[in-house]
Amino acid sequence: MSAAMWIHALLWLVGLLLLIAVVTVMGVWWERKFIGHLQRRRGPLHHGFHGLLQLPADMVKMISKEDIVPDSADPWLFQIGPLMVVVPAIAAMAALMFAPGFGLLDMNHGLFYIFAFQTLLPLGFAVIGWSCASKFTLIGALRAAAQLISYEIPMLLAALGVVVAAGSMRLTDIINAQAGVWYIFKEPLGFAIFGIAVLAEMNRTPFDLPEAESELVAGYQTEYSGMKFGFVQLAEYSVLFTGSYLVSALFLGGWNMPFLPASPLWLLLKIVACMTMTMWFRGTFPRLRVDSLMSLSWKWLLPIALVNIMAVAALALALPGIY
Amino acid sequence: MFGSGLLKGLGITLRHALGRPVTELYPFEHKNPPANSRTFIAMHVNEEGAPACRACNTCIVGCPDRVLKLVKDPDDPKRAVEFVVNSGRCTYCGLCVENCPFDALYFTQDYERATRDKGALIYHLIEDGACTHEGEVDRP
Amino acid sequence: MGVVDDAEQPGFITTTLDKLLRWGRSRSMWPVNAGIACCSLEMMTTGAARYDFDRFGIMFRSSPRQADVMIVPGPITKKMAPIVQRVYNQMAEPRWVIAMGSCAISGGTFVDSYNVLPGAETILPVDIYIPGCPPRPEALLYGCLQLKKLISETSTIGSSRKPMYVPPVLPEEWPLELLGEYDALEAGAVWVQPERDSPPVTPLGDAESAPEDEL
Ligand code: SF4
Ligand code: SF4
Repeated sequence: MSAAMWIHALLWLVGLLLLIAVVTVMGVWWERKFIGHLQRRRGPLHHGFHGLLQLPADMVKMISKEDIVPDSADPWLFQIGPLMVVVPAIAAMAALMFAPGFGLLDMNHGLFYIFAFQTLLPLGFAVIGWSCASKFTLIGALRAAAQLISYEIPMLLAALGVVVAAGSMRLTDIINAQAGVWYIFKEPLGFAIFGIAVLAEMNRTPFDLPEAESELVAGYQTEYSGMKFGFVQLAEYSVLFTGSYLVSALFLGGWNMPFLPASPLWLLLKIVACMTMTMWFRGTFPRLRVDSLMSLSWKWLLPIALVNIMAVAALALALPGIY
Repeated sequence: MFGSGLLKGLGITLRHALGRPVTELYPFEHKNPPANSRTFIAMHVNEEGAPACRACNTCIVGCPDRVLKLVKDPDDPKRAVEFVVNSGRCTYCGLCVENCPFDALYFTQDYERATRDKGALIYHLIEDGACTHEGEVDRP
Repeated sequence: MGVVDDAEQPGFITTTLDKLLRWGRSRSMWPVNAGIACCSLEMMTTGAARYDFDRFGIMFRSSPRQADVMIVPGPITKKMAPIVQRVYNQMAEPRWVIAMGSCAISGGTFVDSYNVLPGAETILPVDIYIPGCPPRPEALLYGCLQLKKLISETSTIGSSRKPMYVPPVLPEEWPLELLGEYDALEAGAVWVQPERDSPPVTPLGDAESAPEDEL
């Protein structure tokens, strides 16, 4: 590798970390503000302009809090748990493309890479929950593992429909293929399945069973205090960002906009819209039951996703110009 | 129909988000509590500024929580020298106010009494025979 | 958890950090989501739309590990005492306690009962007392703002551990968990059963110590 490539990679690394920090800070702020307004409250208001300094204050506090390791916890796994969630969540972001040629790595299997790292998340959650030796964290972790694994399959199958239609796994190709018609109009069924499955992958309401506050205290992160808890939150918001990116890139046309020139701005706008959508769901919907969560995935989403991918393949063969 | 309830819920929350929040910005805009809300006990004074209490002990007998303390003037049994309220134990039931035959006690609407010092919750209404605060002259 | 424990002469960096920490901690107080009695209803009201705790960054966390403030909203019975004490012990330093309502301050109307502790400070180091029965939501908000002031005035330099109180003679009726270095054996208030048949004119416990400038 040449020096220029190293500098490119380093710059992108710093940029991505900054992006994650900004996404977390602004995401939490916007979430608290938006959910507050959904409930006719005001949300953070008095610290900084409309509560913008709220998150920095929270972070300062979290960094300075006591770091508790429970007596019964497995000390090594307990320490490494948050890392096992943060690292895949951040690594998955390396393949994101923000404009043609503007991204850390324009891999020809970018989509595959992102899904591969997202698949590692349940392992991290399981380690977090197992290491604490607490009932709440254990139940939360098992729920997280079960949910993430069972929703991965419909998600991958729905994404496969897009790959079949675009003929490539490179994110740039997939987005450029939507310069005319977005895939949400070509594959509405795939979009619905992908949206539901991604919502479950991100542990968002109505699929937030792993951290169900009313049943499991705080789910798998119950025993974490201070910045370790902050790291888990960081991972959650990175996953939220990646999921919103995937929805906007695979189905909503990425940087394309009808009648307007392509620009990364549209992509960011779509990502923010997707994130706001999940927050809107969170402010509205109740939580699913565990068994109906499982039956939704295995009995409904999976067969429909299979039908969807076959239909897309057949259409792609029959109408090569359109699909 | 399946799903219409979800859409309806989304519509309701969106309407809330677009409407005006109902929040009162408490420390910046004071809304006085309702007139019949019971917070801190205070003592009326008569026209000369002397406390209206005649040291009859009725309020103390009626109080369920042993909140009040009264020291009478040894020379004049109808004059209170000291009247202490331990507001950290009071339930604000209003029995003392209702019982007082002379309408000497009343409830204020002053709720900003949080403190770091528990001793500050014990306050004198009468000290050395004089009212410690600007009591209201008018009787309700 | 201070910036540095036992700093003799804080330097520039230490004092700047101290200011930053005080700023952050006072603006992000997360109470643990634990209601004990009727005052907790008023606590929920304060969190709901009309008064909205979130304006000040006060957000209920269910897990005591992630909470900073414990609001004690109600009388602590002997049966509840070990649980309250355990939740307090599970909180990470730095931590604060708000005694909300007369029962948490002094036992309130239940003080003569056989099974209620005379106030939360029997077992917990209370920082802010909010009188009322129950306090209005505004009163609770005012109390939280007083705590915010207290936190931003408390230096974070040096050790500032706030252990639970344990009475010198362990009570038999309510088993306290002893956790070694997290107990303050000498600081505990002794629990005394108050007199039940009191004469109408009762001398108040420490009425003499009341500051004169109140009201
Ligand atoms: S309001 Fe009730 S509890 Fe309070 S002093 Fe009066 S009688 Fe006693
Ligand atoms: S306040 Fe009223 S009831 Fe109480 S001692 Fe004075 S006069 Fe009697």
